[in-house]
Amino acid sequence: MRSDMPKHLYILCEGELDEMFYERLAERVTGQIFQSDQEFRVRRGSNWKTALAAAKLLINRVRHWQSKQDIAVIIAVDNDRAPGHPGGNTYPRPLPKPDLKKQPRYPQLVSMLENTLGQDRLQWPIGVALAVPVEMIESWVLTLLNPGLDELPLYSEASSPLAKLYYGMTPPPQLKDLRDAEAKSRGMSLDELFWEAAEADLAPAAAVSHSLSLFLADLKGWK
Amino acid sequence: MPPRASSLQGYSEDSSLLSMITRIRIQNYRSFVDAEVKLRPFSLVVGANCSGKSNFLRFFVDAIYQAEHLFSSNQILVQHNDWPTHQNYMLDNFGFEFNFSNSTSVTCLHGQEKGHYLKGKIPWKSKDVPVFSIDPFKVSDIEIATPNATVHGDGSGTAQVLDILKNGDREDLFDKIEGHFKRYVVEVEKLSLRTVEKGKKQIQVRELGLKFPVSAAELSEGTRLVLCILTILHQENPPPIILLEDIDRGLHPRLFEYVAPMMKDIAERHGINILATTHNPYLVDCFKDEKEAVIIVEKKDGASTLSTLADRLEGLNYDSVDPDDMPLGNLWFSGLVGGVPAKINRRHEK
Repeated sequence: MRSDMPKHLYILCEGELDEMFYERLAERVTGQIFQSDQEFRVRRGSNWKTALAAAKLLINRVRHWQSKQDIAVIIAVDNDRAPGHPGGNTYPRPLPKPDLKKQPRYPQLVSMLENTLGQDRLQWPIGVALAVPVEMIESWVLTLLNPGLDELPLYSEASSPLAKLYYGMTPPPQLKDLRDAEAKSRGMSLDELFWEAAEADLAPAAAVSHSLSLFLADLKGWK
Repeated sequence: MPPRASSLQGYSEDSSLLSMITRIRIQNYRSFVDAEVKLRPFSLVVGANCSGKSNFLRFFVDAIYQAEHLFSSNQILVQHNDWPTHQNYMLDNFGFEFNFSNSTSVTCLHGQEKGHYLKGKIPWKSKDVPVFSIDPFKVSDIEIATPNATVHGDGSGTAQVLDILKNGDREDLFDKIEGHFKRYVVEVEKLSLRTVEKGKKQIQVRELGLKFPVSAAELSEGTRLVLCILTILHQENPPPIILLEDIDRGLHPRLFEYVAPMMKDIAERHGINILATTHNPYLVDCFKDEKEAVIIVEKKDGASTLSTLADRLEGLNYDSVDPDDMPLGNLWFSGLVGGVPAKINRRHEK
């Protein structure tokens, strides 16, 4: 491994916009510039098992490159109201059945990493950070831009059937609705909005979003 | 063309004549610097746009042309125009190697120092091996009935071939095409040709629930493509290597699970190669039991490389996950086995 070369950063996420956001946060927290020449994707709409399998295979893949490169990995998947997240929400209303059937994502990712890389995180040969926003990446973007916001909604869009089930009436604007409104009010594209969020003051947002603070702590733990 | 035993399929059934290509090596051709890969009877070629998939298909045509030309004249006639070399890499050598299923091989090498070298014989003519990049409008064109017609690279000739089969002595092949066509496009009740004027024919289809047949020009592009592919595969003298660009274009994904095994079966039974490019992960899913048949084309530093999905699974420990959780199409899309577009920069630094 050559210590004078920039660390390689591999991010598993759903799209370029998410990747740009997580990569910039990693740069800011670690103070490092990364080589990031390969993109790893989970197809949008994939189920949780596919995302977990992709994460496992990515770890399998990159750990073989570790002898030649200094490597860091970000595994990014929205929590989407799955149970068991240490930074998870409490819900004032009962969640709809499809949400209740979800498997705990954050704990299963931790378990997969410990089974693959070992129980002692300090001995892992590669840096790994779990980006599991509660409930979606938009939650972090909105929190970073407005850390004083009251409670954020849980669902993607007010038109989503699950949101309608949860609220039992016409749902208020949900995360993507608020994101779009935020971009509109700032006169920004989504790319610009996500970049602006990744450039925002991290501490106030981490104080109100425990899932974000967990991610930032993972990044700080990279050697 | 090699001698072909008569058979009901239109392909040789005599195993002594089988000459499927099992391995190729490409040296200094278009985007390829030096690449080699094993081929299966039906190989699916995947990769990002501009990775070299089309160059890979064109390679077979140019390689056969070179071998045919050198062999037939027994002298050196090679011009660089016939064999476009890589623009960036100023290499001395260019050429190719083919290995065949009957243990024969062909090596064609041209070098500044070693001169020109051809060993072995390819029993085909380049004109008989088009790259099929099918234009649906050509498939539905009115065509003049012609004996000995074949389907051309753009799909023209489809009506001519169907006419020969229907009205010649190979109605069995026409029936086979019609049978598959009806199976894949269930609205089709009957396939036929109408005489537009003397000697001119156009494909027409009777659809379920319609009183009168409709001309092929009124069919969807996907339906025309299906018909053309079936005609290519079942024509009386099909190409010894079938090279198909964007096989999934216009096809419903549900058809893949029928079309892929059919092509594999035809290629295997008749000892030919079918190579088809695609960008569709659902089609890749159909190769879960034949991962070595998926060829991944990638470009690194301007040079195209070849590998199989089976090669790329090494070191991934794919068996450690349930394949139902990560079908091959998803795996390819994920980037974990390569063959995906380069990183797109969306940063907004001021």
